[in-house]
This record gives sequence, structure tokens and C-alpha cells, in this order.
Amino acid sequence: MAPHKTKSRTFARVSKRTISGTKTVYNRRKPKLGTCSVTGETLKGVPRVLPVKLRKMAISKKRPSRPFGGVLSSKASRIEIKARARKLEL
Amino acid sequence: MLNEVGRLCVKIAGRDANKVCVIVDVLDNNIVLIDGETRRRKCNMLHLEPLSKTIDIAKGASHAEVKKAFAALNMEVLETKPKNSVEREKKIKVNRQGTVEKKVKKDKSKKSEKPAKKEKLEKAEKVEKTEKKELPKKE
Repeated sequence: MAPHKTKSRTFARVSKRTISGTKTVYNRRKPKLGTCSVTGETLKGVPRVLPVKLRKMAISKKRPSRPFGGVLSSKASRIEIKARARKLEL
Repeated sequence: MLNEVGRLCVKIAGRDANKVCVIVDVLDNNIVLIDGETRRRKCNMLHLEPLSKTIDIAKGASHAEVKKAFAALNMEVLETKPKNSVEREKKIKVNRQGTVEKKVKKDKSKKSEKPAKKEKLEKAEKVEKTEKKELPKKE
């Protein structure tokens, strides 16, 4: 029975040169870049690596350390925080 | 005036975002000194959202005074402590033979022993002169 990786496209096919000729290697595809759901721009400071590598990374290297970091862009987070501040009752 | 001393604000940028602070001092047209739930630091007014409320504090008030004023509002102030540096124990490398390796420091005094450039040039000139003397004259 053919292995799963040869049938599906979740694995990227990379041809590698060997002494006997070329050989196809099946590699996991990288995840897409994160985007802000409000402004649509790509998120800065969020690495584009497989979850296996993310597990080994420190928290501060995975996302910006401000509120909404890694979820919203800085512009969108400022708008959101401003809106919340105007509703504050001290 | 929005950038007046005692004005409560919410920080909207950086790691202290979404935290309440108070303007302690006005340093420049746009730059103020803040303290409160945030760290005590300089801040651009563009990174602050001013609130309608103000509290009574003197210009350049200390952290303790700000803490008192915040306690009246039932708010806590961020307390930061300087890190105490602790000296680590040095690792000792042990060979396979069981002996301890010791790094031998290079003597910096050797550099000073090297002859200076002038001395080198003088020596070279002397050698050239002696060679010229030794050469036989053409007949």
C-alpha cells in the first residue's frame, strides 16, 4: 500500500541530488504567515516555523510581549485598547 | 491641557499597554514622565490615551507618593526591584586522565618587549650600510 505522504499534498516534494541520480524527499510544509484579523497585515515578530520548533522556543521569541501580541497588529491593538480606555470608570 | 501633571492615562503601546498611569512630570512638548501600574519611565504622548480624571500630585512626585494616590483609587502600583547579582561558581574542566585543566594566561608583558618600529628601521639601515661597504669596487 502506498504511504500517505506520497498520496497527499500536505508534504512538499523536494528533489535532491544523490550520487545515483535524483531522489524525491517529502518535507512538511511551513505554516502560513500570521495575519491580523482587523487590518489584514502580516504579524511581525511571529516566527514561521513548524510547531515542533515552536515548542522548543522561549515565549518571548514566539510573539510580541504586549497585550494582543501575536493576534492583532500594533495598529489594531492600539485602536482596541483606546476603545476600552474610553469606557473605563475609575 | 491633556499633558498636565496628575492626568490619568492608559498606555496604548509597548509591553505596559492597557495599564493605567499618571503623568508625573512634563519633560518636553510631547514627552512626559509616567508612573503607576506601568514602569516609571519617559513616554511619548502619542503612546498614551488621556482619561478625563486627574489626581492631586506634585510635579516630579516620588513613587511612594504616586502609590498613595493610587491606593485611594483602589489601584495597585507596579513595584520593581533591582536584580541582585549572584556570582556563579566557575566550572572546572577535568581531563579523561582525571587531571584538572588550567588555562595558561598569555603574558602581556611580551608585547612590550618587542622592539619598536623605529628600532627596526634603524637596524635595517645599518645592515644596508654594511652590505654596501662589503661590495667590491668596479675597476
